[in-house]
Amino acid sequence: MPEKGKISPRQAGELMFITTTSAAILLMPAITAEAAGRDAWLSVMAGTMSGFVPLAIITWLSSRHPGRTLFQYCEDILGRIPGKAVALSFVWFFLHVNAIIVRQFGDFLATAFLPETPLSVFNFSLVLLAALATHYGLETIARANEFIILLVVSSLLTIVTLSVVHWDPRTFFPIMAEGAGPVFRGALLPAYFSGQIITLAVILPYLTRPGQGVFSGAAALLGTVIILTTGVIAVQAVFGPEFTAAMRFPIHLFVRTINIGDVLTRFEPLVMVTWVAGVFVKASVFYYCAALGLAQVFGLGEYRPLVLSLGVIIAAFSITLFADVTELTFFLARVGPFYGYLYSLGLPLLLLAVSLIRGLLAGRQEEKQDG
Amino acid sequence: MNNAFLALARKLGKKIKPPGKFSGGKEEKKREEKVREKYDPGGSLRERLDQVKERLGESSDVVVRQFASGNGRVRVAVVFIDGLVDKKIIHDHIIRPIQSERLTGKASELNRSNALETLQQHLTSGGELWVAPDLTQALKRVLSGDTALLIDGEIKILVFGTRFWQGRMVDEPATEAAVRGPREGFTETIRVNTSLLRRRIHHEKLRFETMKAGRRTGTDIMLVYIDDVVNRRVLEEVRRRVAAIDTDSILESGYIEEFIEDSPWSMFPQIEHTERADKAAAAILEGRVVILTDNTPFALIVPTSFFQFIQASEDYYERPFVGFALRLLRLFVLNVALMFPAIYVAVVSFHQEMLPTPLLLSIAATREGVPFPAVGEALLMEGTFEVLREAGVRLPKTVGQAISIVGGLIVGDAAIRAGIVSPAMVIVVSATAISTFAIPAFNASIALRLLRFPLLILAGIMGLYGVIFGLLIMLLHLASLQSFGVPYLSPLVHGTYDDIMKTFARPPWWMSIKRPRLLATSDPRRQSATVHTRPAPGYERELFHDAAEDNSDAGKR
Amino acid sequence: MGRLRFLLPFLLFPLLLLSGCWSRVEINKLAIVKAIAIDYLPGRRAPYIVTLAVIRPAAVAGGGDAAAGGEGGSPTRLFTGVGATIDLALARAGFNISRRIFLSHNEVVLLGEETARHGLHHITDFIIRNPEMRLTNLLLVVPGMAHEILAQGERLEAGITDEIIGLLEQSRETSEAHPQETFLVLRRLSTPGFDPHMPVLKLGPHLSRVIPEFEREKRELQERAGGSGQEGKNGGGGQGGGESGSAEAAPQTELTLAGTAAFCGDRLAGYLNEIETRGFLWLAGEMRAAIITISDPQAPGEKINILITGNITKIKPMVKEGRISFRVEIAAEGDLASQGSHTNLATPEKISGLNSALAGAVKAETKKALAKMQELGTDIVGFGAILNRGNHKAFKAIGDRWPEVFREIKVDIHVTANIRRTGQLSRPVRIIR
Repeated sequence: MPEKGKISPRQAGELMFITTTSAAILLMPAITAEAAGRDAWLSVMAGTMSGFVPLAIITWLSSRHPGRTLFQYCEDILGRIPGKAVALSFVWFFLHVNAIIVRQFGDFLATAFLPETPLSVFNFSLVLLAALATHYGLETIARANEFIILLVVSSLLTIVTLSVVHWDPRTFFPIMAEGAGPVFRGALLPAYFSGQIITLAVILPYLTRPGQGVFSGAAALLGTVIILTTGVIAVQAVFGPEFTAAMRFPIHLFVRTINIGDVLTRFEPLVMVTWVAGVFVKASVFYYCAALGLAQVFGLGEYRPLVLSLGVIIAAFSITLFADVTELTFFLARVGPFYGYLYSLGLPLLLLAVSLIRGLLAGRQEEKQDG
Repeated sequence: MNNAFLALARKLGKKIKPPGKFSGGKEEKKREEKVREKYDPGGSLRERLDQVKERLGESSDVVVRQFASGNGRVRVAVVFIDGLVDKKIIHDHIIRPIQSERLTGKASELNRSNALETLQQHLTSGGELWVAPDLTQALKRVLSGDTALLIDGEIKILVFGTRFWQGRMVDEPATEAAVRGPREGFTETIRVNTSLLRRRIHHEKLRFETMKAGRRTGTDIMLVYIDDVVNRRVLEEVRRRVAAIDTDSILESGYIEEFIEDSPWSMFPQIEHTERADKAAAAILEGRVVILTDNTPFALIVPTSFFQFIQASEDYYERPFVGFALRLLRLFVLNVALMFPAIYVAVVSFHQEMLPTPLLLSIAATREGVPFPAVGEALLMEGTFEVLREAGVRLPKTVGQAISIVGGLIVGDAAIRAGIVSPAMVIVVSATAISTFAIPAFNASIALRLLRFPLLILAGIMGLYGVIFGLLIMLLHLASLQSFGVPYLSPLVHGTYDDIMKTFARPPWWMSIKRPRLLATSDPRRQSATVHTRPAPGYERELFHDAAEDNSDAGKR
Repeated sequence: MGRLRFLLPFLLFPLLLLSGCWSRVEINKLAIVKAIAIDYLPGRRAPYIVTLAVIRPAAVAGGGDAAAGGEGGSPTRLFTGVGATIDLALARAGFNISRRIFLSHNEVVLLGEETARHGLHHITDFIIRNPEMRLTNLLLVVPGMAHEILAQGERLEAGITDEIIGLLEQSRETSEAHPQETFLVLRRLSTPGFDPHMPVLKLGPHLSRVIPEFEREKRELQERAGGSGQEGKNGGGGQGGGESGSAEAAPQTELTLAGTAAFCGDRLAGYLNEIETRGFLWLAGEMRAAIITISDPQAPGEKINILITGNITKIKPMVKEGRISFRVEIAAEGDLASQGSHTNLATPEKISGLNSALAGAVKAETKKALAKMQELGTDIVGFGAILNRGNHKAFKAIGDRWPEVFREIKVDIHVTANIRRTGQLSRPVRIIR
């Protein structure tokens, strides 16, 4: 087994929470408001709730194949060669998504904080951090995350609370004036982000009590729903839907509007700290999944030698995948969701179906043999 | 990273230690056996005294005194080290009874054949007495201050406990002063230290487990714990690690610390040390193991978590609110000591939008004409301050003050007047310096002081992002650390709500029901439930009325 | 490999050094801009004039030795650039500045009248996209040229920008204007049925222009008083005794917040004067504090001053047979500040009389404001947005015609007023000879 550490269900839940929340919070208000307008908050709620479907599938799969990671039961279910192929494609997915995360990270910092600094500096340094985290292993990531989650949640709540003076509830009405269509269109991206709970399928066997993984995943999703909806509501109540939709990183501009008595003001660094820390955890989780997956597909006893080379791939991808920030946003808004569903919903469903059918067939054979 | 360091350490270790040269436990034993074969069979006093001389050499503090018993039948000799023994005991309880001419009762039957037993049973009156099987064992004792009684024709040697030497008095610990709380600190004498602990914990299960380490220094090490509280696995692990120490010298508990800590290449201290007897006792009662080392007042406490370094024993003696406030303050100060200069540099040269406008203007005004960029200025000032501090510690007290005045006040003022540094930077550096000293644990604060510099440089390169980058690396490292199976960041990670509250808030004693969960003690409860003695009903009121009546009576008279 | 790994940090660290330091600007290399004035000259190829008010830290902070060189001079310096776009004009202004233009601490953006007429879009786009500009910048409209305001000398504060900010902050207490942060303007711009507004900042004429015959009257008074004229002058000219000396030489102008600029979409439509501004604030429910004077129902000719302490406004859209109307309910609250007559007003009947008089005054102000808004066709209260919220279908049916519909719309205004307290007096002091 490449991984020897164990994490508690609570830590797993916290990891999943950060994974589904941290990168989403920055872009979510703009992209959902673009599609759903005033009802963006409904979209976020609905979209994030949809994460329960993949969660149910992977926990079911995991209970059918206890102690096995996603990559391992791919082979158990589909057979050696097709299984390996599917597992490899999962590794690719984790790598690719990780590169996208890193790219978002760099773009945000270069846009909002250090405009003169080249993108590569942010990307490389984040990959370096994530590589270090992966090298230390799952236990360390989970522990560091316990600290970071406090930071992320408390700073977000602080920001939202302080912005209340500028809220205009009129921006939300009328609710669902254009019907449910825009709400569903807006829910695509939140669904994509909450579908990233698929990473739980990789770390589930390393829980001290794997049976409770479903609860940690559910708690994480509920937390995500609350935080993301609060964030979207706050941003929209301050800016209005149309203006929100036009922005690149609404949360950042949102924080710049906070000014309470000229004392509680200038909270941007808080956003940056939160964002960097949160995305770091998310990138580490995906990095870890990719590294562990690759090691398990090729039957290596240790994933650590792979870390550095994967890092080079991620860093290179993060620079070359998109030419500019417009392409990135376009990908996330139009292509990303469907690409994500393939891996968070499509393939797991396939695996589950095959696994169930195999189970049935095996049961019959046993009956025959018994008979 | 860590593994890399470990691997390197292993390699270095192999290089320094060619097999066989130092790990000579076996060889030494063989040599001893040869010596024994050579001398012991005869067992004659003269031969054996020659042997002593050969072993100990012509050291001036080695005293060998030969004499015959009162009835002249047995020749004996005492061997002891001058300066480590109480000569009065030797005279009154060993030499005089044996030399006495009036041997009465059984003692009168003393002769060569029953010498050992008679001397042991009837003739000497020392409180501590061992029978050493051979000279090697006896000399080991002698070298730590006991007295050996060699008997002609007898292989076994009587050893009397006569340890006594001039030591420091039990004194107020210099490094951990407290306003409220006991003033007793450990001394260099391990026996005094054990007595200080035993006086605090009268429980029958308090254990002092003696081990020896250091082949040449032969230092006594004691593991102190309460048998039915301590976690067995932690204790086993401590035992294993201490027993595995293979070195020729242990002069301070710092040696042991380095030998047994989990990650030797880490910047952070993973074992807490203390000079305070009450702190050590508290740690033992929490279920930790205290390691006492002879010849040093510093006791080690394992396992250690990072947040122990912001706790002081005084927190537990003052009112709970005070303890809570002080801990929050220390937590803040910890961050200031680590990050303040870095954040200042990041803000002043990267994120000026973060400063409120009036502050921005005043900082900008003071920085007009300063020749260095803020990073350079900060590094310069921090460096200067570290030099001043180091000089202040080493210099004699009287001179030290002069230096700090010249260095701190005059040079600082002149530097500002000359426009080399800005006043704001001086404020930042001094605030940081003061914060550093507000952290109770010196070893933790020194780690933070060192880490300040990389953070400062990162801040100078990438602004706040650099600072966060550095802090995340630190966080990862801290999260990966463990101390004897306990995560270093516990109870913040893996901790229960109860543990976290206890770390940061210091609840009142009557609410502290459980021991820290992560220590997994065999007896997790300190008390049965939340019990707080309330005033008896009506008690106060009665007292008040009584007093009032007394007064009115007095008025009548 | 092990040794290589150990060396890795040492190899990476210089790399970091190589990569770093682009974004670094030392704090004393910044030109800290506190206010921007944007003027627009229609018909020119380079119509934008951008004027930056840059603070000289040494002059403001006055920190001991550092300020030695900066004494005497004004703490703000103006730099102007002309260009075809705002960014270009800003860059041109930068050609004159020895330091890097730093906009993060900018607090006020003054828009010249023509700029506002040309369209807010250019301004807001510039402000939002610029990574340094904050969305809390206050937007103001200046009738005429905006940069002339910045050229004024400071009075109480350390710089002209602080003067403006002080005025705006103070106006929240007196309800003479309604300051608008950029993001609020943007929120309104992007909400259907809602037009933005901004306070108007202008150079008000000095006392001698407000009352043209002031000098003559003063002279007459002095002559009549004879020898004791010195005292009379001090007593009469309570507005500012120290000022009058210099005023005689050159009539000064004064910076004042006067009324509200109302926009139609992103273009300036017109101005509301002080009274209309107050009416607008009643409608918007933003009245904080103000003095309203009503004539005494008991003693004609005497005045009663009411200090307004707050208001609540509810607006309900009514759609009947396709006709849209609004019902506005305003609840005003105030204290009796002072009275001219000697009658005791603090009886329930008289107070209720005062209440209805106050309600009438408020209603009059409100109607004036509404009439002006409808005349200009600017919905700065957001009637359209309220309709959209309450009756989405009706609003959607009107669609883009809202500005025209708004001009004709019927609004019923119902005011209830309450005088809660009468200050430190329960009745006027009787003057007894």
